[in-house]
Amino acid sequence: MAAAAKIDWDASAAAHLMRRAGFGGTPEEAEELAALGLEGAVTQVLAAPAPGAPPPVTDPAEFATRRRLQKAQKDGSEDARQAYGEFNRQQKRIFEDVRFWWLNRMRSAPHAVREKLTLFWHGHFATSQAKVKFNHLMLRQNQTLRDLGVGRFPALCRAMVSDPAMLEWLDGRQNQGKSPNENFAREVMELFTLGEGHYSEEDIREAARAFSGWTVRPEDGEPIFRRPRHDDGIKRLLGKSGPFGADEAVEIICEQPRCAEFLAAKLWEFYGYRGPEPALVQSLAGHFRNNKLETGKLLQEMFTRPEFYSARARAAQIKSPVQWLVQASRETGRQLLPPGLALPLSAELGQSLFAPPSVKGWDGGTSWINSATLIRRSNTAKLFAVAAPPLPVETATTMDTVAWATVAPEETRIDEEALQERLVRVFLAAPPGAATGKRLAAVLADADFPCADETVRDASVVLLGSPEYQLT
Amino acid sequence: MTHHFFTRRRFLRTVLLGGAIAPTVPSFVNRTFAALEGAASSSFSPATGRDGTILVVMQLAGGNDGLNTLVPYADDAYFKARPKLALPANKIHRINDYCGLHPALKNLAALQGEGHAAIVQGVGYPNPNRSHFRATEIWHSASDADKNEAYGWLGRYCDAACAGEDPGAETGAALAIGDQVPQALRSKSGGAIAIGAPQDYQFQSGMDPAPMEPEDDAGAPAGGSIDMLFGEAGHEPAVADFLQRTALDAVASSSQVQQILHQSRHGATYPASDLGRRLQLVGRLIGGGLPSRVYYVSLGGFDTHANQANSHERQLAVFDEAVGAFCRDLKDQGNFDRVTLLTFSEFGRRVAENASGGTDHGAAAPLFLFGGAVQGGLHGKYPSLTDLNRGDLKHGTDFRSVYATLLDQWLKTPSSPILGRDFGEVPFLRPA
Repeated sequence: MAAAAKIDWDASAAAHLMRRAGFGGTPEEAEELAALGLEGAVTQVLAAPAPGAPPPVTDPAEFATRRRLQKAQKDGSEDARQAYGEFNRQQKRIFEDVRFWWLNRMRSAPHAVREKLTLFWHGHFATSQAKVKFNHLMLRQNQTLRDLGVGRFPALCRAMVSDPAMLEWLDGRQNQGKSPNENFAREVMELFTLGEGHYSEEDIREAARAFSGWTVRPEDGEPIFRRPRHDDGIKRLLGKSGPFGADEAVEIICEQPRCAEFLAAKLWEFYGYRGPEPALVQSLAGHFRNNKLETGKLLQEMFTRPEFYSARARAAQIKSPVQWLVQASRETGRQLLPPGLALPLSAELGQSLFAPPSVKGWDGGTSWINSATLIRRSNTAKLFAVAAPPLPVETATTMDTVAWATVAPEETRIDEEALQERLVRVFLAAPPGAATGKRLAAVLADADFPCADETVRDASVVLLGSPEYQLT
Repeated sequence: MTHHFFTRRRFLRTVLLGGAIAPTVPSFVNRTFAALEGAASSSFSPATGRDGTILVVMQLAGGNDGLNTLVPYADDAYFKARPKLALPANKIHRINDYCGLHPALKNLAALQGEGHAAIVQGVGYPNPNRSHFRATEIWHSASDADKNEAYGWLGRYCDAACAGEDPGAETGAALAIGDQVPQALRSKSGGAIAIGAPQDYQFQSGMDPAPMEPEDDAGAPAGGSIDMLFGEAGHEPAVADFLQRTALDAVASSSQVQQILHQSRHGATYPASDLGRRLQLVGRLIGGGLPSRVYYVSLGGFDTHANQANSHERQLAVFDEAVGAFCRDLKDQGNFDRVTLLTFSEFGRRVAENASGGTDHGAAAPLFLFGGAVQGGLHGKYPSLTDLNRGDLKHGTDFRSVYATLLDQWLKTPSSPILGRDFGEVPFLRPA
């Protein structure tokens, strides 16, 4: 390996780990991690408990109920129409609750590594409510991704074959032996496991036959295998043949050497940087294979690699809208923006949870930013500082004061230089550029030191709205 | 690893380098908005007085079912392959005695009747790819199916058109209406601009990230590089560079776009769909005299694997109404003759319907061109419904010959250097 052999483990490296493995945190949290040493810190981060509020209650019979109400309203009574409308509005509210619930988990869980990984898998097995239209199934899939995400990849992939939201999303429930629907089988190989060019059109047709027969029970949204709809003939898949069903097909696909490479590279691009060196990918893929494709083990390996802390990796990513929203609130020690602001904002910036734009997920990277979204991000920065409620602290009388004391404790307010240092540490992955530096200096030039909350707030807004804040 | 602290001295040094930002604005972005200053300060006139031709490109994303768009209503093979989905022959807007338009395409049929719609039949490319993403890349980049090309065909056009410093060849930044800059517009010089909701396309006071004048720029070098503008830590230079450029594009373009929108009239009526709003914005920017020559919009919802009859009809109606409104707007402005609208989809769909009342990914399909300058009617030939390639229509016209025609004859830029070779032309533009 041609990488830097040694890792300079310090608070700045620990802060980098926190931002990438999770959604960032405060300089004090970074200091605590730094004190544990690299191995200790990675272990701590990966082992962090993942408590969280229980999810909103969804209705397993949502689909059946909607169909019943829809039918009733077609017959025309005003009551029936109202009941149908009310049901749809209620389901829409529940959907918003589910979205905000997940955002809040990312905000609240210590280190939130599980949530970040779940977000990765959501972008990987990208499924959208836009077509599924069934809250219960979307939430169910989210829980599956969370529960199985750190374990062996083939088990997760197999779960997705008969995941009811996935069956709706990629028409698997309509895939029957007589006339296979290829949608799911194509995406399994192209997007979920191997990547384009590593299978043939015939492999897709054959895999579709192997996956046939799974459908969704409308009365409770559970997956069910209907044998008469399954094609139990001989399939020829990736050089093997037999009367394969879903289990065998997933196994055959996942044991292709390409599968480990494809996933290792994609995970590295999500956590590390784009376009990883081929030797690094090979090394990670080897590690992944040796550990039976267990994703948690691969993360541990990635987070202890010198490349992960190299100059190439630092401040090299553009924050996704979700990362941007959640990280800002973790850094300012505040709650998330209220759902009425956070959810539409995230959507306008190109990332709606539970509604990725296509089965390919989000392109990420520079595609998050264009002149329109950059303007929107800058304009919103103020909201982080003024509209996001401070975290409730029972003893405090003015909560806002507590929040600003977290961003800039007393000892960092003694002069301009100390405050600059502190705020850059809180908000930026790398020092600010010239234009931002000048704006910051302009705000600080008029202030008296030791400074008041107002100065901390105004200076924070400059950094939160800067182009550099988009980097992590 | 050093701490991400920085000293006051380093801080001041980076501050003083701020004057170096301006040279990094892509010159044609500058040119676009500099050219606007004059136009925007004079009062609005219906025809802008600019005579550059304009190309608007629209993708029907998801793979539009060409067979149920330009319907071969007189072909028995059509009804045989589509027992559930075939459209009744008596509902078709007939073009000739073989094919015609889907019943929902009322405006398109009218445009066709008046000679303002050119339909190129059987468009595709060798070794068609059936993945949405790969096929979209191929159409956007105009690459061969087995090659990858980072920049888009229109991005490469912008690079080529802006390479010369000939002030007569004025070319504005390419504009995508929506949240994303599509690959078609991606260019080496990176100057394409995305505009979502126009009212949001402006910095609130105090949040404009443009550099202020340095208080003392005696020490600042003339024309620094962008790497200097961010701090010294380990940025991926490409990402930092990209962010700075985008910030500058945003500053340069937003106030002028607002100005033009204030001055352009709102009169034209469009349908309330997203596509209607997007085309309305394009109409206002063209009417307001923006010198951009390339616009890009997209409409999704064409991936009709299951129960397609209703959803396809709905999407076609959205498409039809928005295109109809756009053409009316351009006619009223007096700009219809200088705008060509190209609509395409990344692939057509399989000839035979599937068991879910839908159709799976296919290959060749018709594409449309609208405008006062097109040679209306059918071009190319309808592919055979029985001589198929793995169940899909074979293409008769390479989509890159459509691009070549637009580049050579419409945008007046030699196509071979942009497309890599000579693809020939399709006579869908009226001889000038």
